[in-house]
Amino acid sequence: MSKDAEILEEFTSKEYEHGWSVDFEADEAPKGLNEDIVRFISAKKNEPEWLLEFRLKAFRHWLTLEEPDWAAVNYPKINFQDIIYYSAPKKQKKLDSLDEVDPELIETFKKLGISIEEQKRMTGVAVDAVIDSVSVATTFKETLGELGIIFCSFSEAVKDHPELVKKYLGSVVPYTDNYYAALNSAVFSDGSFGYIPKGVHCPMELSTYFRINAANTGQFERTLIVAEPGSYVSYLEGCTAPQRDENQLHAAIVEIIVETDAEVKYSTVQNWYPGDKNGKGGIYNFVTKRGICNGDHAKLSWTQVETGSAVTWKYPSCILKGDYSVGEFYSVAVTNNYQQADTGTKMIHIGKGTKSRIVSKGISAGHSQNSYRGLVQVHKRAENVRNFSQCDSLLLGDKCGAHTFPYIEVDNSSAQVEHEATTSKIGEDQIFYCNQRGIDTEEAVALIVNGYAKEVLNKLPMEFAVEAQKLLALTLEGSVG
Amino acid sequence: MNLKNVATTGLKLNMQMPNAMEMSELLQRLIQKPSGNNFGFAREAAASIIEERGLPGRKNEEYKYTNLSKILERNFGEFAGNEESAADLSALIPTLSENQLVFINGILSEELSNYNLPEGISVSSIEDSKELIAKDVDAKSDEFLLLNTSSLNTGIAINIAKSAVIETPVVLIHITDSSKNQAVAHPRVLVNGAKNTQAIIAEIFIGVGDALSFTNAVTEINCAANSNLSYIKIGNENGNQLHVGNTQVNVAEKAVFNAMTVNFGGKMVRNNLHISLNGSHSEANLNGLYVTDNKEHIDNHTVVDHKVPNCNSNELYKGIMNGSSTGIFNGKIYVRQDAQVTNAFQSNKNILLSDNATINTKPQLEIWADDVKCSHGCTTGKLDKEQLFYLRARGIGEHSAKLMLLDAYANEVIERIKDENLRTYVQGILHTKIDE
Repeated sequence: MSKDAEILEEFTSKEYEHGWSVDFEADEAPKGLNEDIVRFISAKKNEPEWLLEFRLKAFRHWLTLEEPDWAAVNYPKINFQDIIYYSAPKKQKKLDSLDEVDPELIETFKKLGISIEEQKRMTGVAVDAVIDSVSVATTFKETLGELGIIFCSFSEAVKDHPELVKKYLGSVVPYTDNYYAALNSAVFSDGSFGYIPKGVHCPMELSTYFRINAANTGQFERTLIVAEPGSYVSYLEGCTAPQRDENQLHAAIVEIIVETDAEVKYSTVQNWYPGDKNGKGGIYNFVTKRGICNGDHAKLSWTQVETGSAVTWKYPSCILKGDYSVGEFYSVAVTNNYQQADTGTKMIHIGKGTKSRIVSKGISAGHSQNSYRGLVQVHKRAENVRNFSQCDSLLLGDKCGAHTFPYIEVDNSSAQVEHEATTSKIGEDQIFYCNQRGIDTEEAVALIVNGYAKEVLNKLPMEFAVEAQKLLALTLEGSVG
Repeated sequence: MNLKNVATTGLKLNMQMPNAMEMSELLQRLIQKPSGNNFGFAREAAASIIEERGLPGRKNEEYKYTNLSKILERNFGEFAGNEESAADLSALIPTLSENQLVFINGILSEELSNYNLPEGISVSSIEDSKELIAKDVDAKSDEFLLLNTSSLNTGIAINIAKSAVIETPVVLIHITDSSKNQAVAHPRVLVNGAKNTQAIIAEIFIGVGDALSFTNAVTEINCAANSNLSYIKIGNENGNQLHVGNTQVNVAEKAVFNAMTVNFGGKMVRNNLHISLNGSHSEANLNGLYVTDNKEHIDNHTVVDHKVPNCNSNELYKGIMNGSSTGIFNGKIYVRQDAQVTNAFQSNKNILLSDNATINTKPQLEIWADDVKCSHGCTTGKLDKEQLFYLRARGIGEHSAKLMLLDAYANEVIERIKDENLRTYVQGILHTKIDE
């Protein structure tokens, strides 16, 4: 047992590997937040009047709110006046080919193991790379354009398709939604915009790599995806962040609109800097993600692999408004050292015959705390709703915690709602079984954790699944493999 | 260790309370002020905490679905104390055991009680247990428990002597009588089970009268080492009754505690069952059944706190909701960092019989130890169509078939009541209730 403990200790004390930072000439706003900063951001981005109005309304609302404290996470109070709300790399040229991209940026991607040219050539993935707040490289735009698909940075969308942005912005996550949603709505810097026209099956995975780069910069991304009737899109979001000692705040918003018969698959791999072994530093990740299945037979699927961030506070949700629409949530959340994760989902069943499925796998190690917090709500008129939830927690080490807070609210008798949760550690018999067959304890733990998370990892697009497995290995398995 | 949630649940309070003056006035009306007893120390301390915090409203996570203070505010603003009614209550009292103690509006009625206590068990005033009471007056205590303490007057203690094995159950019948006017009762019971004892304690809550009444009961149970205590709480209240019950249980090493909470109605009922497993190799079994109809509202909150290693807990709560009633279940299992080798299981099942019925359930696990086996499950649905079809295909009418299925469903819980009289009594109420 003591040997096991030693090995676990070794696994779980692994330092973050993606710790480095690139020096851009940042064009920064002064520290602090007030109406002038909001105006500054808006002016900097040449935004139309209505968007500035939206930001200001959100900002004024934000001032009336109090920071929420109900999540099972502890962190020092954030000084919102000590954050730079806007920073953009200076070289802003329209780029048609990769040669024009900042060589330093290319280098960045290479370190991450995600080379743009590689992706462009081999996998057919269009990458909208976001570094610090402004989109620098957008590829495959032309290919997508032929199909009528719009995939661009948020600011470009505001410039080129203001009617679409105006129509959908804040329709799923209004700025009044919560503290961080209001903050984001006021100061969002950039993000991604995806629009899939009627009946179009998007031929490639749309992907964005988020990176936080300049020190002391809050990152306020905003993603908006609209899938018109009968369309399909799979969207990937992935992140790694440089190592830093000061905490960084990230408050993003993702809004997804899924119309009749359309399907959106949204996958995330999140590996921001989680802080060091003693819980110093790391990213605060307070994200509002929500999608609405607006039409009948619409489908929205969230898949997330959460390995990074010092504090995670994130509940990707589905509003199942259309009849027979389907919501799915697959999650693996791994916490190590002093990380804290409070994550889960909300499934709001409004339409008839709507279905949802929740599979959440939590893995806690070191001194970390990992919570699942979810809501399944069945409205009165939602006949024949079906929900199945499964929340499993795996504990590695005796100083970590795993918590489950599922809320189930049913107002209709024809609903069939089931929830299951288990918490356990890796059995000594399982390790012994592997040892007996010549697999050492390190590998055995890796094997078991990967097997445990497989149900979720399998839902990821293939290229991502490989990366996700690597991340699991990085976070937990230390030198193994 | 992150105990934030545990520690603050009671503390975060209602911002939406109208204003401090009104709240305080309501509290003054709800708190009973008997003169000349020995509880002054606890009463004043509890009253000052509750005055500062106010009664919990919707913003309090623990009372999110059960906004009792709103109803209290609306209805007890003019309350001026209980009035004796001339009604003959003896007809209401079931005969379930040779040891029955009857309480009217929280006060023991020698006249209606009928007991012949066997050797090894004694009933005394709660006054002898000052220390225990003082311990409850804590900033983190439940608001209604504090309210009860601030009204503390009589209250009884049931003491079971070392190694006594009591076969006949001790039945406490609480009648809240609002036939003449609104009534408020704060019954308080303490059960002390010494080492190696075995006993069954039952509490039955009945209401009479058309005016609104509010019963705020507190029961504390201490199970010493190697004891085996069963506690049965039966609520059969009418649509004019508000009920809050706080049951706090401490279980010492190698002791077994069995709890059974059965509720068949009431305007708004809230049960807080809090079990601390303080000694290793102890065990807690929690069973519950709630059957609601019309506009009834029944809320069961349970906490099993595993503080030490090698303990087991099992929980099964089942609900049947009809009419436009609401059922609420919130089961928490805490496994503290020291509580290695813990097994904790929890299951909550619900049947909704009508489209207007609601169930809000929240099975919650909070685990800080790693060598544990914990699971919880919860289901919500209506009666199984195939089972109904099976019975109907065999010539059983729809109504009887439904009754059969509901009976079988509820019996999984009820049959765990070991005492036959009590079991038959509960089954009787169940049949009347579901046959409506």
